[in-house]
Amino acid sequence: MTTGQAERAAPLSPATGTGRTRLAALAQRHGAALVLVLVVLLGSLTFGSSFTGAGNLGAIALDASYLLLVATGMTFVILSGGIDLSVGSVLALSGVLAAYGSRWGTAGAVLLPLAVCGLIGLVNGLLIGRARLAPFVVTLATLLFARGLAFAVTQEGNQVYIIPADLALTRIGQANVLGVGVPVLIALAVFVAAGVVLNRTRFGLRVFAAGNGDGHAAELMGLPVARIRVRVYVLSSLLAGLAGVLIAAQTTSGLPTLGEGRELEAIAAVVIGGTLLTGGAGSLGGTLAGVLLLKVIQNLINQVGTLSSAYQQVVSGTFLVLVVLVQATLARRRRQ
Amino acid sequence: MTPALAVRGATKRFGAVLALDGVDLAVFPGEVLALLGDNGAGKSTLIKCISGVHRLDSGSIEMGGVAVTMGSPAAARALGIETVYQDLALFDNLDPVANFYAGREIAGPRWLPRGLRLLRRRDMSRATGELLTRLQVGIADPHATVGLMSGGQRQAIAVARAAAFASKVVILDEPTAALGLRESRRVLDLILRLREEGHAVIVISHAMDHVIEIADRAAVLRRGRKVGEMRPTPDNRQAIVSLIVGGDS
Ligand SMILES: Nc1ncnc2c1ncn2[C@@H]1O[C@H](COP(=O)(O)OP(=O)(O)OP(=O)(O)O)[C@@H](O)[C@H]1O
Ligand SMILES: [Mg+2]
Repeated sequence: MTTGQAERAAPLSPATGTGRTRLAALAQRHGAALVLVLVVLLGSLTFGSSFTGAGNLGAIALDASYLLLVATGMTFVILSGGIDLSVGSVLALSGVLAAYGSRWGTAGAVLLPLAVCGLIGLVNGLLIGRARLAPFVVTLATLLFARGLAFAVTQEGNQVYIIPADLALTRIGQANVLGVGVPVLIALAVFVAAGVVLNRTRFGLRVFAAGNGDGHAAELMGLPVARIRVRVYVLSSLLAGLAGVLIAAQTTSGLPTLGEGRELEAIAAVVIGGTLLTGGAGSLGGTLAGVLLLKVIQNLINQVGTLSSAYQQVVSGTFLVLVVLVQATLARRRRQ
Repeated sequence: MTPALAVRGATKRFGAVLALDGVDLAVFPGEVLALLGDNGAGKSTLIKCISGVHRLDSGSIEMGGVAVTMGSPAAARALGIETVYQDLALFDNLDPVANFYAGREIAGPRWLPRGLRLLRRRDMSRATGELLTRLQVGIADPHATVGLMSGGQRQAIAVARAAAFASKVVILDEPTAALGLRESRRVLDLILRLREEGHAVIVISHAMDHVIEIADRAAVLRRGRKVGEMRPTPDNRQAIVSLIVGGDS
C-alpha cells in the first residue's frame, strides 16, 4: 500500500518522521538546494570573478529563466501523475509563431503563439484526461506535431522571420531592470504565482490528490480528475509557449530547431528537485533548485576551457541517476 | 416513514457477469442496515451504484421519496451520501487534513472568484484535529502522510472522513476488516453514534457478531439477488448464515 508516493509531504504538511527516515526525507526535499550551494561555493572559489561576475551570473539567470518556465509547468504535470514530452517542440513552435506574428505588432507576436500553444495543451489534456490515453504517447505525438508545424511555418527552416527591433516586445525581451533581464523577472513572477497556486489553492491541492496512484481515490472522492488533468497540460503548454515568446523576443527571431531536448532537461530539473516521477509528491522549490543546479553545472563546465561541453550532459546525467537512486532507496526503506 | 434511501429493481451487468439482478433495498433515518452475502455476491457493486461509481443498467434510486440519478461520486456526495469504500480511497501521499478536505476545501475570501480563493489551512487543520480527538482516532503525527500509517489508522481516517461530512446516508464497505479489537470497537461505536444522530447507515460486514450487535435489519445478497431480510439476533444467527451460503438450495 505504502509506496514511494508517501515519501514527500503534502502541501499541507511539513516533512516529518523519525530519525534516519526524517533525515533522508530532508535530504530529498532540500538535497538539490544543498548541492547547489556547494557547487556555487566551489565555482566561486575555483573561478573567482569569471564565475561570480555580474555578466556571467546574468547569463546563467537568463538561461535558467527559460528552463524554469518550462519546468514549472512540468512540475504540475508530473505531480498530477503525468508527463509532458511536447514542451520542447511547443517552445520552438511558439518562438516561430511569435516571429511570424510580429507583423501584427507585439499583440500578434504574443497572442498568436500563446493561443496555439494553449490549444495544443488543451488537446493533450483532453486526450489524457477525458479519453484516458497514456500521457507518454499523447505528448510524444504532439511533440512530433508541434515540431513539424514549426518547420512547416518556416518552409523547412529556410524562411526566417525576424521580429522588428523597434517592437515593444523586442525591447522588453532585451531590457534590464537593475541589471536583471526582464525575462528573468517574468519567469520569477510566474514561478511565485505558480507557487501560490500549487500550495495555497484548491486546484493545487487537487493536483496532488489526482497524482495519488492512478487517480482512483480522487475519482471515488468526487474530484473532477479529468478537468484537473486538462488544466495541468494547458498550463504546461502555455508556460512552454511563454518561454518560446521570450526567447524569440530576446533573439529577435524564431528558429524551428529551438528547444530540442528541453523536455528532457525540464524533467531532469523536476526530478533532481525531489519530485517523484510517479506523481503526487514534490515541490516547486525543489524544481527551482534543480533548474539552477543544471544551469550552474553547465556554466562551470564551460568555464573549464579544456572540457568539451558534452560533459555537461555527462554530469547532469550522473546527477539524475544519483537522485533517482536516493529516491528508490528511500521508498524501499519506507516500505519495510 | 419515507426511507432515506430506496433502491428498486437494481440491475447491473459486467460483461457476462450479472452482478446485480433486480435488487430492492431501503434504509430509514436512524437505522443501521447490514448488507450481507458471500464473496462476489454483489454487495460492493450495489453500494458503488448507490454512491455514483457505477451506473445501474436498470432500476431506480430514491432519496427521501424523490427519484435521483447518481451520475458521479460527486453527485452522490452532494446529495448527502458518504461512502467508506472497501479499498478506503485514501490519498496516501497527503496528510489527514488534506484527505478530509480534498474536494470540499475551505477557501476564501468569498468575494474572490472560486479559482482564486486561498485555502484556509488553519481552519481545516483545526476542524480535523477536533474531529479526530472526538472520534478518539489516535494518530501520533497529524502531519504525516496517510500512506505511512497503520492499516487500522488508515481505516479509522476513512471512517472519520465519512462521519465528518455525513448528512443523510453513510455507507461502509467492510469498515472493520483490517482492525484489531479496540479499533473495531471504536468503529462500531461510531456507527451507533451515526445512528443516534439520525443518519441512515448501510454496513457491509462478514463479522456476524458485529452485525448482530449493531444492525437493526440485515439484507442478504446471493449471486446478485436479494434472497431475504431478517432481524439479526443471536437466535437468528443460524438462519442468516444459511441464507448467505444458500444451505437450503
Ligand atoms: N468493475 C467490475 N468489472 C467486472 N466485474 C466486476 C466488477 N466489479 C465487480 N465485478 C463482479 O461482480 C460480482 C460481484 O462483485 P462485488 O465486488 O460486488 O462482490 P462483493 O459482494 O462485494 O464481494 P466481497 O465480499 O468479496 O467484497 C463479482 O463476480 C465480480 O467479479
Ligand atoms: Mg466487496
